[in-house]
Amino acid sequence: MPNLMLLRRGKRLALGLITSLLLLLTASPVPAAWPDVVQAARGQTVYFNAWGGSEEINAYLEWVAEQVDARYGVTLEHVKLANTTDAVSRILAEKAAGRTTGGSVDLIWINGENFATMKENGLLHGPFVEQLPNFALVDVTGKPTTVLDFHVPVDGLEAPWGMAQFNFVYDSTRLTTPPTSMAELLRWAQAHPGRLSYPHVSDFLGSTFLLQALLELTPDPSVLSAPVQSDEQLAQLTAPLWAYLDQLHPALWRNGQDFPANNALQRQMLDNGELDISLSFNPADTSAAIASGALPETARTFVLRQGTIGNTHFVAIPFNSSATEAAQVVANFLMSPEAQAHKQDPRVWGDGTVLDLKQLTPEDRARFDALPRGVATLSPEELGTVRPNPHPDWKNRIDAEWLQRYGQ
Amino acid sequence: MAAALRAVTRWSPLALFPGVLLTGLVLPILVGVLGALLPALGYLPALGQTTWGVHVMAELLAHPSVFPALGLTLLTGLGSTLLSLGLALGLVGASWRTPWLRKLSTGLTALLALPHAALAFGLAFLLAPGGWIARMLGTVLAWETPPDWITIGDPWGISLLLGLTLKETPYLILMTLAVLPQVQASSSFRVATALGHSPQSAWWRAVVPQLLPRLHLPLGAVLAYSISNVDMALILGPGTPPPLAMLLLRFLDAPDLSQRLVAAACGLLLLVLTLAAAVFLLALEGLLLRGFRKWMTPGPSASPGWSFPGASLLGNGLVVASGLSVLTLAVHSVARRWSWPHVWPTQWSLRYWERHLHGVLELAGETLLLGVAATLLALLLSLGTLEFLAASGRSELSHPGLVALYLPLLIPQPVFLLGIQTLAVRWHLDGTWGLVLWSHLLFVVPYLFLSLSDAWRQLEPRYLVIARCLGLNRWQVFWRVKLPMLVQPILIAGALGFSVSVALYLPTLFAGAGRVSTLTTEAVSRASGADPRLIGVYALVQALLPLLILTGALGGSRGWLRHRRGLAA
Repeated sequence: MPNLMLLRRGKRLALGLITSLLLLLTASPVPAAWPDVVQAARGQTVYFNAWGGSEEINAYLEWVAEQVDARYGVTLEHVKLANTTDAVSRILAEKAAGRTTGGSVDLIWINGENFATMKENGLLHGPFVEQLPNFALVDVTGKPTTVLDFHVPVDGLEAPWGMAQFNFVYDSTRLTTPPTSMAELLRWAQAHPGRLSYPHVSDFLGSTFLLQALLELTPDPSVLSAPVQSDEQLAQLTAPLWAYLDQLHPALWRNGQDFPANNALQRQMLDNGELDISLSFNPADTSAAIASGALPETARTFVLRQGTIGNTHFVAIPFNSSATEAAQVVANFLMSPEAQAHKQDPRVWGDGTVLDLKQLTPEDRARFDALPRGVATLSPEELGTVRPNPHPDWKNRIDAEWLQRYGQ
Repeated sequence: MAAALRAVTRWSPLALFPGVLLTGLVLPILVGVLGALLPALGYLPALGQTTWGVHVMAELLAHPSVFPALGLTLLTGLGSTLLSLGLALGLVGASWRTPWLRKLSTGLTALLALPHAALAFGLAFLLAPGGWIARMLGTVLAWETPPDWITIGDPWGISLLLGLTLKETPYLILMTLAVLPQVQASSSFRVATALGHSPQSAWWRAVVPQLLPRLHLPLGAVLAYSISNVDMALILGPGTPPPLAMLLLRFLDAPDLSQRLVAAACGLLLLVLTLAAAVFLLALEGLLLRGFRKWMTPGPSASPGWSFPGASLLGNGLVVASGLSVLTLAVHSVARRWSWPHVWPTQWSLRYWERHLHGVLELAGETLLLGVAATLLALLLSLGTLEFLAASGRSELSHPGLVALYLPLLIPQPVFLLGIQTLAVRWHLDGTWGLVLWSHLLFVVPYLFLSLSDAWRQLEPRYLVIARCLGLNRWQVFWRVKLPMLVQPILIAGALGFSVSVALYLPTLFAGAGRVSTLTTEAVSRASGADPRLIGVYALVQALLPLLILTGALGGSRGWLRHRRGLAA
């Protein structure tokens, strides 16, 4: 840590050196072309296709639109999707029709499987991420999922936007001691029949629940980071999961015969008192929901002792966008300390930053330090170990098997 | 269509209208179906899939959810169609000769104008285990947690079936009322009662068998909608397994793009299922009419059927249930906290309205513009076609022409929309306002044409003959006699056409490519967050817009008739 040693020598010298170091840090990866990109972006319109189901996120994107308009002369239109694949299908239809320019989507909010399939089918523009100046501030070592999306190399095709970690939501007046492992969760469910559920596997949180259980129940989770090797391997490694679910399901809501269609609906059921536990992928959104009146003041969150699945969500540019420059400017702005800090504010959205706070200027760091944590949000220590998502292959195979066993 | 085209060859400028109507609406749909058929047979070059064969169909049929979904879809589709038909016939039969019917039909028209999604959201808020009804009971019975009811999303699809019935019964009642004069119901009825039948017996035995054949197309539209709808199924239907159309959307939404082939195959299955269900209904009708011939001709009897009070209760019940649903939307939209078991919100707030009013009004403006444009165009096409028919001495479209007109309502939407999307993208038409307008016309025209053609048929021809005798030419007769006489049906048909446009979700989504959005697409995407307050705001505005237009149309026609007493009779 050379900069720490320098600090001791003298305040003035140190400050001067830190400033130049930081200048170097932010300046070095910037290719000469970046000002040209910013120049070309002026006047372009970016159609940002992103899920539109969250009030907080929609409001945040309105703020982003104002900012990029004022700073870069870029018009940002948020196309509110009910489902991300609506946009993926459209891009595919455009590819099918041979449209290589003038695509309807300029920027898309994706990760995991959607990214893997878009990458595989050549639906993405780039690589572009390394040339975004703010990418240098991203914590690629501390948060490896910013460059490995569900174990699929990002290869500069999508820019990291935010961090997620699986957690459980509950009402502390109805549930006093939250379970700390999958086994305890099962015991709790059996003691409180009908009060637990998880979303159907067609919702990503539903399959994440299964993967979370698998990580904890399978003897050697490390093999899950590679694709499934064989049917035998799949059968052998997932056997404990199915045994667990066979025990769990009779104790679930509607005896495990039906599942909430999605996570948003499940949270609504928690608020209504139809369930005692809901799931979330954002450790801060329970606090945000309390603030907006969507959950009671007594709502809290918990994670499991062995750690829970965490991942990164990204923005990518489709291959046929005609506003690639402006899309890059927006992607870069989304990674800026100011935009990231505003996003992490639980009164705004509460989405975790992808940045390495140690690399920021003191002023930028202060933006993050000043953020309140929110009454239901766990501290980084309480959140504990972040475990990587298994390879998408596992999710696909497990979803299919789940449908076979329980989906009828 | 052949007959209609034959007529086109006998040239007249009016022939342009049916020409545009049929080629503009039917051809693209057939192309769209073809576009969906190819991937179902394994052909989708964009994904590198060029192996022809039945392997995609096989993959679909091997999917564990397909057969349960098939059963569920048949149950809800056929069940709601039969139930709404029974309700409609029963209600009309019990009340068609009473003044109460006129009052009811205003209420029913309002129900018809209510978008499916708004009604479904309202019903869900009403009937869910934590919904309004359960809260009212819970307060009285001191329930600590919501009851373990299996209402919304029940595995048998009963709540979906009931929601569909609620929405389809008014349509079938209005369609039944429209065909009553065609079958000379009054005289059959008089003959039957003179022979000693009770009124109910006369209705079921003498009138209904004549009505059924004339209701085939409206019933077909109801059946196709019930089988293939997604907006109501999404909100009221079960998820494990879901109805077939929802399963199709799940395949379409799967991140694994090769699932799109399976989605196309699922669309094909949906089409086959719709056809099979239609054939089943036709066979059932034949069987009933033949098998019950003995029952129908036994001579006088007092059974069966409903008495008027029962029917009035049921009819009012339909209106009240829908009204309560809309009311729940309103309450949710101004709630801040409304937790179990409170009957009313514990904290109120206008925050959602304040925050969204501007955006909602802007969207309402766009929706209005689109709906009005689609309605006016559809009116122009329909009036032109009706005039063409009148000029060629026929009172209605040939049967093939009618089927062609109904095609967009008979083929499940997801099937042909997929194919049309690919074409539109190829021709750079996707995301244009014009394409969205056209996609709305597909659905507005059939509804509008059918409700107008009844008015046209019922128009007393002698007025027109007199007008001709007085020296008016055909155009003058149309402009100065027909139109003024038909202002009321035209305004009401227009308002209903507008409500069809407002409610369209999938067509707007596919044609609009995210560049053109309406209240409905925005409401559905925001509803994916399941925030009842936000859903309340959007669904309420979505419901109010067509109701406002309808009120305007009713008011307008009343004003028009005020000084033309003779027309009102």
